[in-house]
Amino acid sequence: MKGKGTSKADRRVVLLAGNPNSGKTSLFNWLAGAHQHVGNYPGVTVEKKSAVFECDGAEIELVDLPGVYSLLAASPEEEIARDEILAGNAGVVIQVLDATNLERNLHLTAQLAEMGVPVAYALNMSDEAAANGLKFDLELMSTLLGGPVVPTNGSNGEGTAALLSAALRVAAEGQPCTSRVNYGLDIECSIAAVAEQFEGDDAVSARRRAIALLDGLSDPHAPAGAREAAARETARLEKRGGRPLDVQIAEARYGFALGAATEATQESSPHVRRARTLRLDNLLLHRVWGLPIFVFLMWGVFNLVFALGEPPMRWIEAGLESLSGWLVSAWPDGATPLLQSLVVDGVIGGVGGVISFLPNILLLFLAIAFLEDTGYMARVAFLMDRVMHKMGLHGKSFIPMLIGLGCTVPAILATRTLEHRRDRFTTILVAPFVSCGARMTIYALLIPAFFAPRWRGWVLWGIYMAGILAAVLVARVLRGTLFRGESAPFVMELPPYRLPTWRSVGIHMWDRAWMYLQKAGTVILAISILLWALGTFPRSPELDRRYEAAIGQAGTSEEAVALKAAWQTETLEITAIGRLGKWLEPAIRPLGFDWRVGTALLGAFAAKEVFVAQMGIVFSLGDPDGDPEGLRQALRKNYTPLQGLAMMLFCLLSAPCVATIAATKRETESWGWAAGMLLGMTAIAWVATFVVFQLGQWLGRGAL
Amino acid sequence: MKIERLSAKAEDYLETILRLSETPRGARTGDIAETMDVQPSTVSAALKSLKEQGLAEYTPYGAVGLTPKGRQVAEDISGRHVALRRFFTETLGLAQEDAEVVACGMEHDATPLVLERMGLLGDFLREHPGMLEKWVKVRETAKGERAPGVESGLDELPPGVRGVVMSVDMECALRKRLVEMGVTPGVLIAVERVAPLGDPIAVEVRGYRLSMRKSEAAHVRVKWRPGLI
Repeated sequence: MKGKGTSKADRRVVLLAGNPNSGKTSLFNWLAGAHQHVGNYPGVTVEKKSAVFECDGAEIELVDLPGVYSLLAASPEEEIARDEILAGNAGVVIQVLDATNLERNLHLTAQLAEMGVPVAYALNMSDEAAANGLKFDLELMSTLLGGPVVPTNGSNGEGTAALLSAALRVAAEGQPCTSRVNYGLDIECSIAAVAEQFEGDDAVSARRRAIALLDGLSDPHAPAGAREAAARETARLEKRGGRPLDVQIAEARYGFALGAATEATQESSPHVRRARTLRLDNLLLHRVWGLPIFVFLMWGVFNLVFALGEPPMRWIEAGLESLSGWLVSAWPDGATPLLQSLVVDGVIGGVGGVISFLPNILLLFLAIAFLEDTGYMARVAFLMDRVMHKMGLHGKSFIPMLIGLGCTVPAILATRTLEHRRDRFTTILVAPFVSCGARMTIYALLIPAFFAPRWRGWVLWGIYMAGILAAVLVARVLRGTLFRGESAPFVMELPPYRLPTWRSVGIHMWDRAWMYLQKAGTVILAISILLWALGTFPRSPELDRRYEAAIGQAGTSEEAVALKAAWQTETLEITAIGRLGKWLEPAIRPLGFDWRVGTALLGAFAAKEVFVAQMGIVFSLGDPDGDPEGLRQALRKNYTPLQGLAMMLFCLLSAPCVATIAATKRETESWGWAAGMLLGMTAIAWVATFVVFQLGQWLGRGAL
Repeated sequence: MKIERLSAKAEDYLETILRLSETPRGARTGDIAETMDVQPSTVSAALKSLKEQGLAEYTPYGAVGLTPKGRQVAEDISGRHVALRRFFTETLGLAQEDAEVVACGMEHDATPLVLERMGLLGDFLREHPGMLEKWVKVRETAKGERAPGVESGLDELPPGVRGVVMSVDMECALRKRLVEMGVTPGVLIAVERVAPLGDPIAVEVRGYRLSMRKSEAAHVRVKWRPGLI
């Protein structure tokens, strides 16, 4: 496939277009091989996959367009697909057709044919179609569709080489797609009338833009005359046809699709088709068994992500710990202790914050890739939409919320499966309210410290429920304000079940994990180092000297440990975080918190579980890892159960951690939303905690 | 008392005999033939059959009478006839003559349950003048486009019944989405299943499956077609 000695001028852009679930991405993987590069289209979180490689002496840039059902530019994906096709540098567009569902796939062809670009067709899943008893007349199909048709098989790569050479031949000829939808005499007259007004455009482009205007799309660059003509003609045709013009246009396109599909299909036995999917759906969407099976599968996903991810996560943490231990011991004595702290606590700690998530994230993406590629993801949405819709979310929001019970970062990354921006952003913004595993460590410290054993279960349950309640309320408020308007239509394909290849699932998983490492990882690392600095500076050499001397004179080792703890406490007090905690005290006093809690909360922003360690330090008990009972006693002495409850509530509702904010920034492509989440959640946490604490005190519970 | 099903014709004879026997002249073969617009010889044959079934009794040249069993059947039929006629005129607003014709056709087949529900619906509307008024308005403004067959929202199409899409009238974004997925006027569509929680639904259209919420499906008008997809 590869040749040598090409120049930049020979580069041909080949675009891969097609419906979702048409097997487009696996064809891309076969064509691109190891050359693929994944990123995002500028400004939006729509994945852009491309690959540059050489073939027959020409340099090829292959771009996998987002999967779309039409090119009407109604969603970001459609807009991107349309813009890329029209950008003018596309040598050829390959449309991937699902041979088992030709009619709906050809509806996109009807629109593609109007773009005035050379088109070649991959008749994909031809093996599955043959097994279903479908046979096609490829020559006739090529004539009808105005471009070569090559049968392919995405699961083993058959036909991909032939497809590429056919596409390159079309690109070399430069002959735009020759098929054309006939919209019927009435509409054609109107198209001609509107097209006349586009004076600067060539015939193909004028026709395309005229159809777009009549289809109800906005075209800000269209001449006023064209817009007037379109409005006039639309009114005339709608009166005549008795229904909206866009419906009439879609009817004509589907007429073309049905005609071409019927003519090109030589044999079909519709009873064989879909039998497997139907049988599986009878089980998986069963009235009684559908939900239990679903719960079981979700339990499996959750366990896969967290239980299976746990050991590697521990290995990574252990590895990093021994690395820092080695660094500390190998560090030249007395040489720049600050640099040592930066490397050990800041950098290694920060890197740990990034890569200790990696096992979970890889497994999550593995699970999601599997659910998506088999077709079960659409069923998840189908099963859960009723509940999730009541909460102001979408059926597909269920998986992110479930994953959120383990960790919010992968939960936010899991929102990728939501197609509509409104649903997706709402889910991202409410996912952090679901109690994650790290917050569990805080509850595990505080609940036994303040509550009698028989209440502990209830308090924990109540906290989890409070988080879900907050998510529901915030989702509803967001729906009513920022994401106002009709909820996005739930009209969604239930694709046939297919067994994915390990290759495609693996590539899918790795692409997304790599993007996480690149984008979220850098932000997490940077903020972790910043938080390290806040917890380290300013320092007081005088204090250090005093304690070093005292520890040197300490008689027993217990005394030395106590002194070390006191040293840590005093050091924390003078650092930026300690000062910030003190400075914040007036603001958090109404919540029942003192500066020590404030400091711990600030530290908890690096990662929620840090709260526990910070509390240990401010109470001069050292790191309470292993035996938290001493810290619990200290807490009981200093705070009331109501204050304990307030701490948990605040931890539940305030922004979870740096990594969450970084993931939000990554998935919304905007610092604005990330900052909004941080501020919004802090405000909600403050208000809710204020109300609970003050109400509790007023009810006289403060004295409990 | 359970009576084995008689033919529609036999029921008509019994009903006519009952009506005529309430006149001073009584039911005579010639009058029966005239009322039912048949030959007297046909009436004789029918009466013979009725007598054999123990429903009617007669002597040559005398009046025809009904046995207690025959009277019961006849009264039942005539009661159905009246109930149907009332439903057609009062509830459905048909003209007297039309109601008479339709009632004659349906009285033999309407089951007690159907009659009971029709009666309940009529009573319900009479007891709720506001509803009756609204219903009369809908009834009067209908232009006969629905006949024949049932038309409803796609959400009401029972699983396993095919329908033809008549219109997709709704706000723009949803309409565009539906038509691009192939739900256009004239296409055959069927509800494959309802989600376990009762919403959304999965429909089969153009050889593939699509899910949508019931609230969205309600805007898609379909005409029911018998037969499975």
